[in-house]
Amino acid sequence: MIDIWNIVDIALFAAMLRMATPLVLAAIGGVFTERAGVINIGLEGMMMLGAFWGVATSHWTGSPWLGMIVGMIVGGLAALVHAFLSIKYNANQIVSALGINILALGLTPYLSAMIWGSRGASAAVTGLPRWEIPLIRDIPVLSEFLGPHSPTVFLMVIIVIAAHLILFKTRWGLHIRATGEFTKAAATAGVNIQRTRYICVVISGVLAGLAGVHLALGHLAMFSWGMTGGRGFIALAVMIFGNWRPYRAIAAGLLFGFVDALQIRLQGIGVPVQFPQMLPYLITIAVLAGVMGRARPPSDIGKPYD
Amino acid sequence: MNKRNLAVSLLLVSLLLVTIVGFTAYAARDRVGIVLSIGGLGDKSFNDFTFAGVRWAAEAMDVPLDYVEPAAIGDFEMLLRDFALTGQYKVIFAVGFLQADALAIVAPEFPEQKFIILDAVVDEPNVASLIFRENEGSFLVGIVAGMMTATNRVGFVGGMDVPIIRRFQAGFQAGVWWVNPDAIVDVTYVGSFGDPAGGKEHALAHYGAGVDIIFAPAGKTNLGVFDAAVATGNFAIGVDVDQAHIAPYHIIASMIKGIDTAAYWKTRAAIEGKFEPGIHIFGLAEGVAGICFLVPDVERVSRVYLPERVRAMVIGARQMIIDGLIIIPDEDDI
Repeated sequence: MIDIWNIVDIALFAAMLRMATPLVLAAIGGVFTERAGVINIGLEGMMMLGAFWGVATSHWTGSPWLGMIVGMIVGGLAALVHAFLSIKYNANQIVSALGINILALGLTPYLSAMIWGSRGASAAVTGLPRWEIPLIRDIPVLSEFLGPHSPTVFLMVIIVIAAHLILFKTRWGLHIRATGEFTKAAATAGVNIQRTRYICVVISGVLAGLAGVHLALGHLAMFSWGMTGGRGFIALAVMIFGNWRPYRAIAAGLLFGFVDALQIRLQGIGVPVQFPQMLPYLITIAVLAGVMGRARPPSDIGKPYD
Repeated sequence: MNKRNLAVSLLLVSLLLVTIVGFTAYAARDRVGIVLSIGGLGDKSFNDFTFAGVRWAAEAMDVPLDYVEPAAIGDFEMLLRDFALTGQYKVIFAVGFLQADALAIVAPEFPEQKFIILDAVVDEPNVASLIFRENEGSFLVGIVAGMMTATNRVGFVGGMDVPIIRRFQAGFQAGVWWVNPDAIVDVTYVGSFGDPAGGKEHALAHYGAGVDIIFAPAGKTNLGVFDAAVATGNFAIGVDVDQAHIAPYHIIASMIKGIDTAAYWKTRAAIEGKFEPGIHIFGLAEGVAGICFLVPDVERVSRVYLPERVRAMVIGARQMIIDGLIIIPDEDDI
């Protein structure tokens, strides 16, 4: 007999937030770059580089905050390489981003061996602190849901709101959307296509780097080879299911995080574990196909412009 | 003879020398090769300790050792064949059950080449298969968990749901219930051996449900389990090797699989020309597997023991297993 209230409790929702955070952060990055017309499947690699350099910086300086900043910068720099190749030289955007993924996969164990003498895993470092929201701290149920969490979780919520405001409420956001939707028209209207694309691709790298920092310094306090575990690719799916919109992306990310946290608790009910393990993917596809309708990418996505 | 001719002749002579040396090496078979499993060195567990065992043997016998760290399952067959093609290796060591299919293809192609595979059975006349009764060591740590739990609820977090990890699970559950029939054992599988973030979420779910001790045979994924144990003030049990140093005070025991010892013995035997094909099974009776229940005490730079009654129970059970008085279930029984 399964007691459903043993499975669905407040800890489940807290876990949902933690697990959704890296997916949503990287997905918002994806929204920016693809809205500007550049495909970025390198989110996974940028996430891994962000995680690695965040941990390395915390290891050297003892400051996880500095680690967070460096992780974001490195993610942005990796994205700059992708931007340079795909915008300046019109390289195939899939190939150039894939190169970043492969580079991250090869570079991190090599540097890890140099720093910690182990290719597989780093030493334990200082992680980010846990934050609570002052007023909510005293409210029984809500306080358990909203804290204590890593600052990256709160940052994720702020970034989603900011991304929505930038993309849909500002002039520059209109430029971004126009760039990805109908590049020639945007250029005719005086939008600097190159600059817009450069900035958006770098934003995606910074956010993917932050997603990596969440995993390595916010959730854990260590780096291990391949620790991103395909989350950069799931983030792309979250972005697509979110129809390239920040609010829908966070909804999709939270849904995935919720079912992923739920499936851990469902593994005890006596069915083969492979069925609960499938659930996050199945339910996300089913619900979003039903609720969100057809996903429509920006029209001029992936097309070089000169 | 001008300078140019001299240079060309020198080049030719050196090429000839290299070829001769090469052929001498070809005939000698005086090296040891090891193809590691996915993840490679640095996992502080499986790959590192197998490698250590093979290296000890190679160093003890003064034989050069070559190793390679494959990036994907698809690389195994090519790498094993590359090693075998040189004809220089006395023995080639394949680490991990993921290499079984590749070795089953490569081994018959090189009947003269001797292979050792760890954690899987490849039925060829030139292959020695080393497998382990992980359920025995897991039974012993199950006893520790069953006696030490204050909440009467313990957890098992597996890497992937594969037969070897189920063997750990079978032994662990049996050990817990042997000393504590009423205890609840919660079992989940993360689905990866390299996802510490996922491991931590699993462990937090366990600890949140009232579990206070988790046994996690999950490769690098268990680093996340240890992290959760420290974060929530609960306990965990290490696997394959003594892992207590990773989370002092929180890892109360480690199940020792004995991979390094087994790898050392069999590699050394092969170098000495005493290679024996077939299946070699290692467990408590063979003296390689076991349990480590020393807990490092960092402040006093010493190590403390678990309570005497727990140790006595474990030591008693160990002897009973060796004497065949307890039959431990394996992956086919659950």
